[in-house]
Amino acid sequence: MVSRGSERYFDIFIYVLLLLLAFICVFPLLFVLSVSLTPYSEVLRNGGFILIPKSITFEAYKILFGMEEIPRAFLVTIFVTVMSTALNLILTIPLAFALSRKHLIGRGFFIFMIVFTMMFGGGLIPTYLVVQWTGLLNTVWAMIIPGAISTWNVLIVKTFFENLPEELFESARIDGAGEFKVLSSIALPLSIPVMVTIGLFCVVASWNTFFSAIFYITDNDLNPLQVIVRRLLVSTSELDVGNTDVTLPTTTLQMASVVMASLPVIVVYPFVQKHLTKGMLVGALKG
Amino acid sequence: MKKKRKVAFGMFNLLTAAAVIAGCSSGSNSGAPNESNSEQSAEKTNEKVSIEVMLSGSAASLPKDDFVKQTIDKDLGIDLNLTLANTLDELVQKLNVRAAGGDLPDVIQFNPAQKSVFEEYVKKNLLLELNPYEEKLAPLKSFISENFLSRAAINGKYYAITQNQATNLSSFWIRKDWLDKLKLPVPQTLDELMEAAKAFTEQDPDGNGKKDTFGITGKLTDVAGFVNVQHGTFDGFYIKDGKMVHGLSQPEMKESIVYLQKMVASGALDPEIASNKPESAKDKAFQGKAGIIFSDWTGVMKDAEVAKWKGANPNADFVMIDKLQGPKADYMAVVGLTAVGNRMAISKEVAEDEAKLQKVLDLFNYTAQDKGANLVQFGLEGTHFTKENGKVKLTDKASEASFTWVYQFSGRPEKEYLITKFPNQAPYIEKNDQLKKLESYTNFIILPTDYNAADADRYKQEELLKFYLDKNKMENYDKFLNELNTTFKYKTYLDSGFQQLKDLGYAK
Amino acid sequence: MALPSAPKASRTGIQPGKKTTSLWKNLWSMRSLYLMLLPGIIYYVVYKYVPMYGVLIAFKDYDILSGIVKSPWADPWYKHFQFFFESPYFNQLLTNTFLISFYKTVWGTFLAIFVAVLIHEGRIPWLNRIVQTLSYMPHFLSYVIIYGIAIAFFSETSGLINRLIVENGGSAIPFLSSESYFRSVLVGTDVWKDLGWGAIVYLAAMSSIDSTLYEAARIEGAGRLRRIWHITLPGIRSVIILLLVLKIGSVLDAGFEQIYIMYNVQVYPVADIIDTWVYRVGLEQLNFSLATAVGLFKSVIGLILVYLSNKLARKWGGNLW
Repeated sequence: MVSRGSERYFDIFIYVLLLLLAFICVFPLLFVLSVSLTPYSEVLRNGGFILIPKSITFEAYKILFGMEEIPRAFLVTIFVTVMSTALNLILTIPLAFALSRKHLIGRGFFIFMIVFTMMFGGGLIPTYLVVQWTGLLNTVWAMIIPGAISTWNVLIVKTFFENLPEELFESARIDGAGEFKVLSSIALPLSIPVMVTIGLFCVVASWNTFFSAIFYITDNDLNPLQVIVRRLLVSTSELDVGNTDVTLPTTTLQMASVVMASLPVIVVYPFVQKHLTKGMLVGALKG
Repeated sequence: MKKKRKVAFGMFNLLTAAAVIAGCSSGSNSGAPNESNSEQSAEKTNEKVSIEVMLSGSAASLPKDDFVKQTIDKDLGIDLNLTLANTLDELVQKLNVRAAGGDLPDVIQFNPAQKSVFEEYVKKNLLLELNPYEEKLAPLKSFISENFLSRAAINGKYYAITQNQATNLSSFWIRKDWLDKLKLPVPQTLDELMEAAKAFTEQDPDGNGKKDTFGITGKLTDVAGFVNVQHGTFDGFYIKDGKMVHGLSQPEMKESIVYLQKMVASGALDPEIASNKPESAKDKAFQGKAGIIFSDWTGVMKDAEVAKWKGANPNADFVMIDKLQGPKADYMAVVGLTAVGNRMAISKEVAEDEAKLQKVLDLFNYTAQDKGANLVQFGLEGTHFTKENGKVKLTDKASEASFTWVYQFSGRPEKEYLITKFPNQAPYIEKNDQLKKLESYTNFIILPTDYNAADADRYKQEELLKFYLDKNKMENYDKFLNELNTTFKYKTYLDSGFQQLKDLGYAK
Repeated sequence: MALPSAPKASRTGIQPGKKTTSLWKNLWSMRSLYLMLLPGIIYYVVYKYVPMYGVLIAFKDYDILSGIVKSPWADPWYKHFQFFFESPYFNQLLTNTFLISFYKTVWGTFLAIFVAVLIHEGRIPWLNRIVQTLSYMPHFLSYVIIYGIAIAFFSETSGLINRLIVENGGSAIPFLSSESYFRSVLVGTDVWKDLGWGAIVYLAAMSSIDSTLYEAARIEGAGRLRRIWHITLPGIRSVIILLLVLKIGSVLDAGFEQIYIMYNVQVYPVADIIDTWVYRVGLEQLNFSLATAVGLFKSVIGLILVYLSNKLARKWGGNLW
């Protein structure tokens, strides 16, 4: 019933779609990159639209890296990203594991308790007061601790743990392993794809964070990268139009700032990607 | 169980990496909480008072080696810190959380657009009443104005030092080279402007053989506002024949809408004029797609802007239209009568520390006279500027002082400042000053509480747009006003407005 | 096997016996699980539950100086809700919010799964890697940039698409300012932004499917489509259900930032949502209580919907709690 021929057609069909997908996604990105590399007058002349730059200039990047705050902002962002991700994983894994154990008494209550926070929040002011009360205000930790757990990630990991074959846990318990042992020697090794996935989510989320920086940080030395990028992006839209003293950033500079701020996380992905190929589990199970 | 070890190892790696970075940065990153908390450091070091000023500082980025801060710190014996917010909205949010946390900055700047927030803060008793300090702030009187405190008074009490308004009014800028090519004169009347716009659309002014240009770009609401004043009216409160009126219900308003409909119908306007964002409109003019743009001089004539449009098209040449005779009037713009610039307020808590308050007052006085005033306007004498016969002349190092404006806590003498700073643009700055203005009283009005301004504004904008674009017929205009007055309670607003203006003594 | 295993009698910890003593015994036997819960729960209590007293603001006339607790109660207590409900635009706001959010969820979920399946089925590793990396990149663009890209493509005068249309003798379509196209532009750009990003979690789920299942199916002669339908999709069912339930809970969040950046007066009737309305009201009149009241309204609706959808999900064995 399944001929080699139809398999091949199916493959070709898949490749065509994959290429189409790549095309749809790469087109606008090429645009961002090209504009960042093209002299601004050239951009204007082309109606703001350039896919392949005719003449290349690194002027925008020179301006960007000439900004004194940039190196420091990079450091802050890297620190926040690494610490947030580590903290997220450390807190999320045991929490999700415990919630995935179906016999846990009060499980429904605890799950509801965390899901509830996805819908209900206290709002900006009381949250600020708690951050202040816990002594985090105007420290790097204000960008790390208040977002130490993402409920979304907890639920994803929990679902993955639930999907693991119960027999494995049974046999481990029969061998006398405690819950911690079961988590570290059975559940974790079997869930590398999901760990990597939520790790990636944490990295990206904390890399892109600016909200907590805006509200909890007043010391300019603690500004992460995204605050500076955002400043370049929003300034043309509001306040500074008409401000005699401000030179508005050009589209070229804006695009360059986007490239600068997102490239470092984008290159993370290929490393993550290899853990998302299928068949991980089987090897582990049989090994 | 190979996999297991790998995970454990990976986690270990991550943790050590984190710990290493934590170790590195905690030294420099000031991991200690509340280090820059003003109260603490004030207690710690008696000789140096720390003062925090919060501004909507926008795209400014302060250099590490900030000579303005260093000079001020040294001269006044303080530790001055600026907190800059990127947007107005952000500034308000930040202020509100800090007010809730009892941690307001010492000095707060309220942008003119934040008048209502300022009033709210006064009402909430968060700002220091400045009446007792008027004498101590004497230098500001000559630097800003006699009424630098009183013009933002609330119930006779002063809560803010007001800066002078910096008005960059918008007007039309037209491509002179296109006019020349089509042998048209610079427009003297609104009708002529329309003809030029039409010619730009139809007669291929850029000579590329394609009909790909149009006349006017900008924002339709701005263009409509201009057509309104050229009919002697606008959407707001003003005095007409000695009587306070609101423009929306005046017959001139209808006439000006009819005029605008003609403009739209002629096809000489940017087809996207109703949905343009400011930047995209400007791009169109700079690209050479549109020959007329509605903008202030900074948007077209600052050196950086000139470089943009000259770069895209070396032959381009924009001229400012500073006088235009409309069908009913020759006004070019509307200005708020009371409009003041930024309001600088002092947090009430500052008064608890006598010494600190003195330093804050000193700071304002410092930026208003001699060395300090020059410092925040032009930089350091001898480095960034020199004085010739008492006149400031910028040196070629002046660009290093381009950020000093954020420190202009007492404002600046606008025109002299601009002309010194932008010598190339002096003619436009002069012209900007001389544009004929219609005076608006709208700014005096405090919104009644049960009136939803956002809904009424939306309805008003949407419906007016339909009239402009001729999607709704003019005979329905009164119906629209009626709907606005009843369903959207605009009547409540108008009544309250007239009453308030009467109480203030402006309306009879 | 990727399905949640059915409850079995052999679960540890639950043994027949006297009720009360066995409860304590059971709790004690699970002490290590509770220990695992503890740090997380502390976090939730401190940073999520303590601030929740802030919802009181919705029922008060919030006054910054007196603080949340001491501010006077609103009179009547539903005053701020009433202000929202009485807006002539209330119905329109609710409809717009719901529709935009609904389309985003449906298209976003469907296409993300589709992309995940495509990548999962792709047999050339390097192609997979490239496509995956590229497809995830738009996620990093902020909406300001995306709006710039949208203008470059869709603008009536200068957009690439309209230039093509006009050159071929058509008339330009006002994608960004017409009520008939604007929602599609909103949904399209949003879906595009997170196409590859959204696929990642499904890919992770797929990578945990036991590959012996595929082998068995192949031996039985099942084609690729049948394998996708009978193995791949059921294998990620619980993740799909989980994400859908969560999305349903935030159905009244239609994406403030995107809409605020992209909309204009002409498309208000189809694009003005609850959050943009609150923002505009807040700009004119500083009103914390209103923003909180509207937030509370959204939360309650979200909670009810999550509760109901979780009940429904129970039928397919994918319930959250």
